[in-house]
Amino acid sequence: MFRFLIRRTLVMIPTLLVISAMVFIIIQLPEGDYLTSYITELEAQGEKVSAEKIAFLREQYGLDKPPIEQYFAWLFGMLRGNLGFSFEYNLPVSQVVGDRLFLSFLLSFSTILFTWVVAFPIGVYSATHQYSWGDHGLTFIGFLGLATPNFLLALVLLYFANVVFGTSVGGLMDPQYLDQPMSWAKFLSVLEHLWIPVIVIGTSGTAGMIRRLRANLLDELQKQYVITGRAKGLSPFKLLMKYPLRMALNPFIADIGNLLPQVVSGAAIVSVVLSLPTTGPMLLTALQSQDMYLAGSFLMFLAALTVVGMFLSDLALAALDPRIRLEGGLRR
Amino acid sequence: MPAAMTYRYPWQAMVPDYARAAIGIVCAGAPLALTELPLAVTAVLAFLAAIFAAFAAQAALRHATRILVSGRDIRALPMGIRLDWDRLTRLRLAYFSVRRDGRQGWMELKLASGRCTLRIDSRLEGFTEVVRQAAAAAGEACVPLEPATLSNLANLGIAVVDAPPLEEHR
Repeated sequence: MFRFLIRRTLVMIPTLLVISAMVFIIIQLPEGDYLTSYITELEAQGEKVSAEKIAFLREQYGLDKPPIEQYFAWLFGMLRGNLGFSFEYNLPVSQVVGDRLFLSFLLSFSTILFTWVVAFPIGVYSATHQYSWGDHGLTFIGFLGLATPNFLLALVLLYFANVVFGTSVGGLMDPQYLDQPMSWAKFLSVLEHLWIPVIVIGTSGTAGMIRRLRANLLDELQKQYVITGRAKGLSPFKLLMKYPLRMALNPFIADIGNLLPQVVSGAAIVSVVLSLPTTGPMLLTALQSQDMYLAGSFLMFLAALTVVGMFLSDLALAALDPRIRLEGGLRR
Repeated sequence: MPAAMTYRYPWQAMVPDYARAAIGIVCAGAPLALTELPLAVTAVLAFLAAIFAAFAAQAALRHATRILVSGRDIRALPMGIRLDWDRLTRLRLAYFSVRRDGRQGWMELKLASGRCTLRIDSRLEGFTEVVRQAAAAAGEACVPLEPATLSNLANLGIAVVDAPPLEEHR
């Protein structure tokens, strides 16, 4: 296992380097740069920008250097904890992201927790009570959850909260705490508002997980080792927990790699609809305005989270079920 | 009783591990040595460098290891580990691969008797023979085997008839 951990860790180094190069190329691909967009915007407003000023700004932001030099400056800067400078906000990226990253983490981890806590018992119940009234009812609710887009649910909730209760459920805190430093009162306000986006964002994930867990568990429950376990006198609960459920969890463990980047980028549209001060909308704006260091740092962070997530899920899978799984059969 | 067989890890099989340890130490250690870094990054890189150093030590120890297998026991020198076949309490055969298609992986055999544990990986010359003997001993001693171990044994063409897979949980 130690050797696996080492080899898997080594694979991450070139992966991250290649990703960093690709991210940099991608954010350089659109024609022009942040200054070009900025000048066009000023000119559209009727302001004239002198050529000297453009040259000065280009030099100040390091945009006059060759791309390869810009790439290495960005790469080594990230290693030293310097994520670059946001042109849009005129602040270091780390300061721009600050609070939003914490709020995104809080929202996404609460959503993941909600999804697992709700979906798990329901999925197990549906599989072990197949075709019962409870299973049919929960399956119906699951399909409803799957079929409803998150942003639509957010809009419906906003509407009903306004019409029925006369209140707005948007935002992640009371208005007086916006742009204020984190405090206990602000944190409590965030917790008060958190449940609405958690339900909105978590519904489809919960429904999807119920369906997949039910299907995986049903597959496992048909297998011979379950019959053998029953024949040997294992209690139904112990048998379920020790073997089929463990096997049915493999796809979910493999999914950890996809869960982590969603912590940062997930639910961008819902965040826009509900006016949530998370990182999703900021990433969208950064990409639109070619704020290259802000967008690049976000994308790099997402990639790093994906790579770390895959690493963790591979480790968990190797520890849980280290058997030979060869695509296309075993070659001897 | 047949004479004890001695198995070693061939040096060709160990060279990639030395290379991996060196690459890891250089990648984690070079930024630490060459530039000033924030505390969190320093801590992560130092931890990684220590892990790779431990891996280098493990590779060296494995390189020096000799596995002696007889009909009565299995021994690992120079660590001085000895496990009697009739006192075997655990056998686990795991397969690891870092590739998505699951190919070019390796196996790890873990044997335990009480508190004494021995780990052998598939680069050992005669690994399959060692596994075969361990599996036979596990069958005779009614050692419970996990489904993954049974599946991996089957892939090596080794069947354990007497092992009760679910016995441990009754």
